Amino acid sequence: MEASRSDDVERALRALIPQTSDSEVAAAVLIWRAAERWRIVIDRFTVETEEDPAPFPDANRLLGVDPPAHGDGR
Amino acid sequence: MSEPPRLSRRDLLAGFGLRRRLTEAISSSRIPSDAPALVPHVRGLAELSQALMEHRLAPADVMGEVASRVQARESTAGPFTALRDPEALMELALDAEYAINMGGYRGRLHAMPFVVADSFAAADPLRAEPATAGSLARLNAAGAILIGTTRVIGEDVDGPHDSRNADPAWERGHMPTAAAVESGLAAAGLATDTAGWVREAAGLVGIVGLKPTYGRISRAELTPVAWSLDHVGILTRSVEDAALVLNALAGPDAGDSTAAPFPAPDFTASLHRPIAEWRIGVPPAHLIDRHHPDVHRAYFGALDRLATLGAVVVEVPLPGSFEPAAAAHALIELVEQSTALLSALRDGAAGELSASTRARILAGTLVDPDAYERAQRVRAMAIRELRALLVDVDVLATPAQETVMGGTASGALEFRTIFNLTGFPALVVPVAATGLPVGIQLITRPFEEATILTVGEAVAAAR
Repeated sequence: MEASRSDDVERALRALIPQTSDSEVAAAVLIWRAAERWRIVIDRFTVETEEDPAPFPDANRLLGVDPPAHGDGR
Repeated sequence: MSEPPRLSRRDLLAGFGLRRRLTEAISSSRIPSDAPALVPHVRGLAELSQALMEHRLAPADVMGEVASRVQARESTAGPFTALRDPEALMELALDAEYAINMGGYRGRLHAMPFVVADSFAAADPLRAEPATAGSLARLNAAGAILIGTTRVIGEDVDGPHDSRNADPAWERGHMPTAAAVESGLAAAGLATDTAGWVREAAGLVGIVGLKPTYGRISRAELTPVAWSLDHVGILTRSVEDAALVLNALAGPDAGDSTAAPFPAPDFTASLHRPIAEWRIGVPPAHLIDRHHPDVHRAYFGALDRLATLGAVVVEVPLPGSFEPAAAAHALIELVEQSTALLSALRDGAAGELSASTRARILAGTLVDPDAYERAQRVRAMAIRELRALLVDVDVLATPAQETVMGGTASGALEFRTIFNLTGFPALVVPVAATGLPVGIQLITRPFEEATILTVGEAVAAAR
């Protein structure tokens, strides 16, 4: 199953960039497998959360803050 | 009646006796004999610039020393990818000296030797015409002298998340830039902090590393890795030096729409506040158990010193989002890097990219967009939880690194990437009293860098 998905991934990568070398495809598949593990960790955590995605890349919106009035922190 | 002959700038410089020092420094490639003790190796940016202001030292003295050090270092293995030649450096120093002597002093960074990592390579930092936006333009306006660009050691093909404890930490990231600053080749350095690399290198090498709040410093002219994670990081020899550099770089910038639109305070003004009664939150002690024993010892020693200074050190639970934050960070980085660079790969510019970057671009195209969106949900939750945590405490304190140079720490938690994900400011300060360098990482509320700079200065002074 995993091998067959990897074959699909390899075909998709070669279709995307035809001149991709074998070693680059192999490395990309390794990274994609890592990304699948990250996705599983994220899914386990977010399956029941209603949290809105973080807005970005505007710094104020990302952090949801106004500048500190006194400017020197604490 | 004929006009008197016009004196050229060179003639004026000769009148200040600078030509002699230029010749001496270049021809002998050694420290000018009249400034044997005033070298960056033993003094940071703050002390050097103070000596400059008081005319105890001239820019040409500093640059002569830097040029000879760089030449000596480059004869073996150096951290640089490009360097100005010694004569060009001395020309810039003489320009600075002339400007200062003519009343054109530009502030504490004037004539200070800087390095920037290849994170800025696309902007060609050493080009003749000055940058018009971003950190490079700010450095130029402040009169800093870029002596060269430094290497960035690439990621392992497994990506930043899985390779975290596999690659030796001292063989990746911004170690070359940190080493250049630590060894006195430059007074300060700038590099990208996308996955904690500036802070990790600072901890391992034993210098100060600052990742300001997302948006505090413009990222114009920075080669993007991941647009929502990239920060310009600062590497210096002291906390005061970091505050001085932040003063020069912080603030709005028309060249970067993500730069925060409000002005920054003077970060040096509040460095020496007493920290009695300040609340320092720390992770549960068992989460540090797998860190290298030297890291463990130095970190808890630093907490003891903070307590001695009157700070209230309290254990706080880690936010629930801490666990998936590293995965969310890694996935977002992969997708954003791939998105930013895919066109370059398609347009046949692959030869300009490293093999691991090309592989990451390809892999990023395979990630389900829903997974990216869910990673952003993790980010939103992490921001909310950290903000709540930082109501009860003023500062969070964690180890800056899992291990020391040459050591191992399998399975130890890393505490850096969550602050790239959330954008909160983080400062690393060296705290090891003996042995190999170890840093403590201090985190606080967005846009309140002054708070961690104050605590960092206190813990550094008590070392």
